[in-house]
Amino acid sequence: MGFLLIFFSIGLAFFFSSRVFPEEARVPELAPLNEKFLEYILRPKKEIWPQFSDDGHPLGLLPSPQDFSHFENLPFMKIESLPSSYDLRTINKLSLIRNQGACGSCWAFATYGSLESFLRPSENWDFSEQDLIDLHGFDYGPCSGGNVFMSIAYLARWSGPINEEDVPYIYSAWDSFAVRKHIQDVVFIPPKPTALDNDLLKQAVMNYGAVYASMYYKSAYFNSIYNSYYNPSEKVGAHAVAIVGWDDNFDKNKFNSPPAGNGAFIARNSWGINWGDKGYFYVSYYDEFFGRWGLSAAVKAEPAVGYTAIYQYDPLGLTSSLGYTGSDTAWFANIFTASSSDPIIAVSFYSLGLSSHYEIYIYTNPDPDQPRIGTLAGVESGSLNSPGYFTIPLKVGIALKIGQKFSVVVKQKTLNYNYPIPIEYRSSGYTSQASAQAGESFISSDGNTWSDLHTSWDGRYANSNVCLKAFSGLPPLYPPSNFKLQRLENNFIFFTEYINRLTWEANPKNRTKIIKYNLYKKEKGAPDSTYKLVSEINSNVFLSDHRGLKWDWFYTYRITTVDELGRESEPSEASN
Amino acid sequence: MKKIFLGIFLLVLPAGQYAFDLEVGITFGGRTVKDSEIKRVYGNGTVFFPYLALNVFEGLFIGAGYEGGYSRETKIGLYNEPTTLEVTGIEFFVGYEYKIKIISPYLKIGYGSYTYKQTIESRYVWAFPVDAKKSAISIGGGLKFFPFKYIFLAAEARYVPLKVKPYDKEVDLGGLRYSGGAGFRFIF
Repeated sequence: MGFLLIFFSIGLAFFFSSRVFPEEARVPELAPLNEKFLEYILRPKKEIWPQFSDDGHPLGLLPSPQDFSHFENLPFMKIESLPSSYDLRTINKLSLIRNQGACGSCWAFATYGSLESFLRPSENWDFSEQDLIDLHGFDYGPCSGGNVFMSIAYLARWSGPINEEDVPYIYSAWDSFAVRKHIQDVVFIPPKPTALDNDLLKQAVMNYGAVYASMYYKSAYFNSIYNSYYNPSEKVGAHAVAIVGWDDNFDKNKFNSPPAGNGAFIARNSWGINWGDKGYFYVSYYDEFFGRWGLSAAVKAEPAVGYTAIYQYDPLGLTSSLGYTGSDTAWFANIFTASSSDPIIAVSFYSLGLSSHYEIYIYTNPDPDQPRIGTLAGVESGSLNSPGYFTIPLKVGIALKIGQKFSVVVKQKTLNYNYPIPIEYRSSGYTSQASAQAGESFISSDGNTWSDLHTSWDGRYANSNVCLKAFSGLPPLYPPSNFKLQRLENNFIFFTEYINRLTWEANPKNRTKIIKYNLYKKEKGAPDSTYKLVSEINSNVFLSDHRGLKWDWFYTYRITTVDELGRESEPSEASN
Repeated sequence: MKKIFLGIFLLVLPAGQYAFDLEVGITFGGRTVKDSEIKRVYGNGTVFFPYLALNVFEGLFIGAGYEGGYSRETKIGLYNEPTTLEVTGIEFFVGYEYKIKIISPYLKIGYGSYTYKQTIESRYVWAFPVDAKKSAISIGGGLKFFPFKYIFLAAEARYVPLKVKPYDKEVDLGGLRYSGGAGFRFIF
């Protein structure tokens, strides 16, 4: 009997020690706040954060609370084989120059300058900045300014982007309009440590198109003859623009005061085509703040065809991050309730390390307080080579029933950065609308002992959620890539037949079986409603000639991908 | 130009009331093509030229003939599509021959209406039909040899400049015809 009592006691002790009384959770630390943000929130200085430049141009860039000082003074990154000059204007990778008017919305124009550039030349979009500045959800008014993290929050929660024609600029009639793209990835480019450490920015421009960048603008530094700009030291007039190219040999003597050497980025402004070089200007590599003032960002897009639902608790996105003292590794999780039976096929989160490693675990029917106690349904792992907002597709979809609980758990190691948990944090004057409930977001230092952000630590993070989203549905369906039009002349001696030769490639990102391509055409300049299906092309054919044209017959073409599920992708476009 | 030839015909007709010869003949031979692209694609070809001529006065003759035979099939364009080019013509001419025993050298000038037709086996070029007529002069000369009183053999060279422009591009379908033939001369 005694033996049985001892055995029972030991068993009971083991059970409670491992299940009922978990090891006390470590207290997380909130990442330091951005000094510029504190400066702005606590004592706004109009001379540093004016809404207009000294020559009357609208600005609008405001600091985010997230501190990125850990990116400063990184080792010099040299990338071989970058050209000495590069200009997105010459390869049809830019949408039209816009004018932000008398509104502090440069950050919205710079964001869409990057996104629209990413999609061109195969897709020509004009997204609504008005909807972004109206509906970002932060505490600032539409024209009071913002930053790229506000853009990312709005885009990552699928509030946008919507079409410009749905909500034209300077128009505030809000309605529900179709979201045209899903923003699933935004690549951050750390601040330049030195004037000539430009390779990461250059590579981002070549890889993704225009890149969102921050600067300080003062008219005295703008040379209207050469449309050049060089600010050696003055911290005034925060502004956001987009980098669209560079010229290593841009003469230093073309700036108002010569910098230490030649070289300039080509930047796209949002002050209309009558400013600068048809809306563009050159910024010296040696500008003290350009590309060095906060993170730069390249916004990428995925088709809206694919993911059908988004599970999230962080509509305002990344506003701070948490970590455990002395560790660059931490766990974070969300418990969601399935709103449809579509399988979970992807997970997204922010990563603020220069590089990082992640492990993703999906559990069904988790314990309400323990996101890792449940049925393990999926595992994924990998590395990220830059900071940013990333969506990680799952190799196998996780089947769910409507109403079923599931948890998404991420272990993230952010190299040399001890705040690996991205959170939506309530900051007075910035994100006062942030809110959270018990049972939503959890964090852990070791993956075993979990704390509910809402209920732990005397409510210090009661209104915080981790920035961790899940996506259900089907893999996105992409249009064919590299859709190009080449004008051929077929010489029949007495006359010349003109041919529009259309070529494309299978999009390697598609994960479902492609069965055909649909080709549409309309007369150039005609309304989109006149597009007609001209042929259905087998999936192993990547060329179509539109023949029998006279020299002055011009057309615009669209091509879509159709997969085995009968889905048709958004189109790629090409025109004479 | 047609009026000029008609005038010549009417002028010489009364003179022929006294004595005239009727000549029927046909020549076969080759023709060159001046346009370099036509030559490259379709190449030189052959022609035949049956004709009827009237010796109206002391070696002066008028006549009419039909030129056929140039029909070239090949492939054309980026897609190597089958194509045919045909050139035919009806020609009126006037000339002069000088008889030296059994040999008669002659010169002639003509005016004709030529039909050219390019056929391409492609459903995409319906908007570009090439089937038209064009008038042109011709000049030529040759030698007739009479081994018998009424029968002759002939050798002739004739040049027809024929510039056409059905669309934006001008093409020279002209070229030199060099041919040999035979004929019969009826003497009235």
